[in-house]
Amino acid sequence: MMSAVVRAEGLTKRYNGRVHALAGVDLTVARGEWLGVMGPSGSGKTTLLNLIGCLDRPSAGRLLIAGDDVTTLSQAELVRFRRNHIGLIFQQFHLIPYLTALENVMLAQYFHSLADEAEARVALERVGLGERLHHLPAQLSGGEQQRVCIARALINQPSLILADEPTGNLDQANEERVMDLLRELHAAGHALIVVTHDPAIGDLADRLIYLDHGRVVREQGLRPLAGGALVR
Amino acid sequence: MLIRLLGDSLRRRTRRAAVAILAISVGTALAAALLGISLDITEKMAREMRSYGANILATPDSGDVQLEVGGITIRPPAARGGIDETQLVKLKTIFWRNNVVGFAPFLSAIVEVRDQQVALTGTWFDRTLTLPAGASVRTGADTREKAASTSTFRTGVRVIAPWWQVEGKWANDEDPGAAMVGSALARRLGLRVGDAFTAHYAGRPLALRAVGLVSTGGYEDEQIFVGLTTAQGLLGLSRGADKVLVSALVEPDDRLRPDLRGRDPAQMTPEQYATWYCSPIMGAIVTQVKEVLPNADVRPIRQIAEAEGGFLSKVGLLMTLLTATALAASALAVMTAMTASVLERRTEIGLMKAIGADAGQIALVFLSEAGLMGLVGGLLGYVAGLALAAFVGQQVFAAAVSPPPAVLPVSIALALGVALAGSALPVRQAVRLDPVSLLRGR
Repeated sequence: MMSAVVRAEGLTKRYNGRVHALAGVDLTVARGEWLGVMGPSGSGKTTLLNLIGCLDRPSAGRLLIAGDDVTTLSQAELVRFRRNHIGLIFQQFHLIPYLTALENVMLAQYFHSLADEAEARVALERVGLGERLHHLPAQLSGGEQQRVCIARALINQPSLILADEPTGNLDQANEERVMDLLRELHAAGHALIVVTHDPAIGDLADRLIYLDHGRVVREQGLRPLAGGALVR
Repeated sequence: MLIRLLGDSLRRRTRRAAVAILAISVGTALAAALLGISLDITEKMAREMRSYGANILATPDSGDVQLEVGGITIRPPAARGGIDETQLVKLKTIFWRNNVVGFAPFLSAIVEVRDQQVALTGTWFDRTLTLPAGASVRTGADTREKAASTSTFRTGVRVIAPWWQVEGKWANDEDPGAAMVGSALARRLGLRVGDAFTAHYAGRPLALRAVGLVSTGGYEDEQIFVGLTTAQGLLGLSRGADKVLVSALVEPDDRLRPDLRGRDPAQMTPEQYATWYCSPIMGAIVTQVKEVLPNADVRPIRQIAEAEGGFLSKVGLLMTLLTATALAASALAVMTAMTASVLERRTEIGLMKAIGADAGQIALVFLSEAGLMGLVGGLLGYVAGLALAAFVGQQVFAAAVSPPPAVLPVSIALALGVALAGSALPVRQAVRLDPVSLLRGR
């Protein structure tokens, strides 16, 4: 069995003490695995992603990421853990509008340690934006903005990349480009958790879980990982 | 990267930043002006206060009981003229000699004029004294040096009592027959400017002419004033005065080093005594006057000294309160601007937190912005403060104000303090924002 990058046991999130956004989810994601998460709106997909992304804390349960129990970390430790281990890709891209593509990537480096322009440039070239380094987000197409977001997620070499509807705001052509990038990341050995409504994206995953009312109601898929090993 | 964030943030919120900078500038300008004025003008204010009368009294230290009635010192004839007026020039050799605005000796007698007993006082009206080159002057509690050159200075009643209202003209010190008559006394005696009259003392007549009538609203209105030598001649003295009034610039005791306040100088260490001695406070100046008038009992005229000290302290307090109010108002304006900035940038803050910014890094972004605004506002405020201080100095004290260089760093520090204090709550708010809600647009 591959070593797990994420292990969730009885992961629960309640709002106002009563509303169960997540109700006892057990989950394991192996290193290099691509996990797809699908389900109807309000099923708890984004809540699960926020908990694994250390943006939120569970109400109950245990969550180990890269071997560390993040439920025991203080707020400051959680922030440090997030910037060292997790890369986030958002549906709305969330780029700083007054910073260029290059600066948006360097911002993640700055908060992590030190901004390194050469490294940020390579990351953008890797997502095909070598010619658009000094463009502001408003001067980029949706697909290009999402690629900046991916470059930013990768820049600090996270052990886990989380994507929330990464193609939700893109046209067909750009969706293809982003999907290619996700495939490349997977092939390079990154562990991915991708929340999506799009079955085409879901099909790219090694394994797919379906959430409903905060529970995993279905799980499918077992395919060889990039390294040849089988998931689970 | 921080500079980039800062520059962009300020460029995109120019108007809001300008309002915050303006608020800081106004507060700092007022603080710089009041600070500059209070540091530079204290001496000018003290000089202004000196126009209300002498504040130090020296009388002969004869040990006998003396009585002053209506400004006249009552003494036995043998004890008259106990202070040698030729020694008064030494008042310009004490450590705080430049704070001695002026002084005048007084020698009084009860004389008979037109069958009435009236007080006659000899004094210096307007004298120019000379301190010769080589005179020994104080340079510290234990040190002296020789004056490099001869200096002259004016003194007398015209200098220490400029509020005297004179009808006619001031008497000339060198004119033995010139007299100035108190206005109330002149009315009683039926004297007018230019009238001649005779004063009798112990059977000796003295022919006088009323060159001017004096009106002060005080006991001077009931006296006759003549030159000191005239009075000495009438009393049969070759020299001497019954009292000397000294007008000196002093600072309130609360300007003294805190550990020396209220202490008995006799109990101080040599270092403490030297500091106390070289402070322009009443106690130190009285001690120095006593050093040059060893046969005199020197003391402050309490009501004037205390009123003056109290006034200067209250002006200082008023300035401090005004400054604090202005700075607090500036801090509130900064808080408003920074709160608006945080609200406007909350999605940005959420993103920064999501991609790894910790509380310190978020705070640094906003505090740097506040610090930069504080720096610019402080510099602008300092320049405006200098102009304001010059205006106030000219309008209120009719004097140029030259704030010391220390006002610049203090102004900048105050502006930074205001900017950072005003930003404290908005920054706390920014640090506590929840990235999950913000990224969802809530």
